[in-house]
Amino acid sequence: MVTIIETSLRKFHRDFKGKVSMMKNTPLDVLEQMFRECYDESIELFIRTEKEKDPTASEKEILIKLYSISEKLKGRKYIK
Amino acid sequence: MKDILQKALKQLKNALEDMEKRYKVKYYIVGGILSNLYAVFRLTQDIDFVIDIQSQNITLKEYFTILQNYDFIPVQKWDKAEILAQESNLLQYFDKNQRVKFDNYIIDRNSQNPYSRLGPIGLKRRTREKLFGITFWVASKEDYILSKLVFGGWQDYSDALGCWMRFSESLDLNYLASTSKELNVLSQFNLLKSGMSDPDEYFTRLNHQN
Repeated sequence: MVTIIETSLRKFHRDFKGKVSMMKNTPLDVLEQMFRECYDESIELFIRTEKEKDPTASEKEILIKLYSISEKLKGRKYIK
Repeated sequence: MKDILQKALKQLKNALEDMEKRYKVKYYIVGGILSNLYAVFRLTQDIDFVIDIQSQNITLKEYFTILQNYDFIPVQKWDKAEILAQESNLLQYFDKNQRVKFDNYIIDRNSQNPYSRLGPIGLKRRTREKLFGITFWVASKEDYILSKLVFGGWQDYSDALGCWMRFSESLDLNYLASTSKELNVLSQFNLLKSGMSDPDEYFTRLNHQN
């Protein structure tokens, strides 16, 4: 027997509605704090991992790379 | 109120590494939080990880009893969570401050669905990395890419591409080719490898191939 979960497995794993609902139930100050933590950690991780690859790269060069990759990946979405 | 994510991750790490020591249950972190490490920035309020109780012959019921020793708060009551986990191999609970949700995927080697097949594959090549200053076992870059290709959404491809752009020179291409074939995402991997830097173009070509 194929269950509901098996037929919409991807949706189940993604759980977009659940995630948004969880955010709605989280106090604003907590969300702000968590998002700040994510930003700080992400930038720190990017700099650290890029420095491991190329110790001579400056932080400015690394941040330009971060910006350049983000720009390439953001924005548009494929429409059938 | 400070270090919400770090405190939750610390609780998770202590629990997972204690379980690994006591019960030889292996784990590794997967999902969106790894985008910060392998691709580019991602906001997240939940942490995904995979755990292998199967190889230690620990039943779900026994695992639930073990889990209750670590101060996690279940999303539903533990008995309801157990019923859902039996069907989905996914267990959800919060950290002790109920700010961060943990999505605990349980490896099922008998399942043939493409998402479950990723679990044991990623476990073999798990690697140590620091997240929020805490060292965890995490999926390798290659397995991160493969999981994104299997999930196959726009954001997933974008994540895979971000990792490819940053680390293509050091990735194990033979492993990526053979495992993407095993997971039926070889054409997706070949498109990624072709140097395509636009997620929209990727989907256009992928749909054209199909």
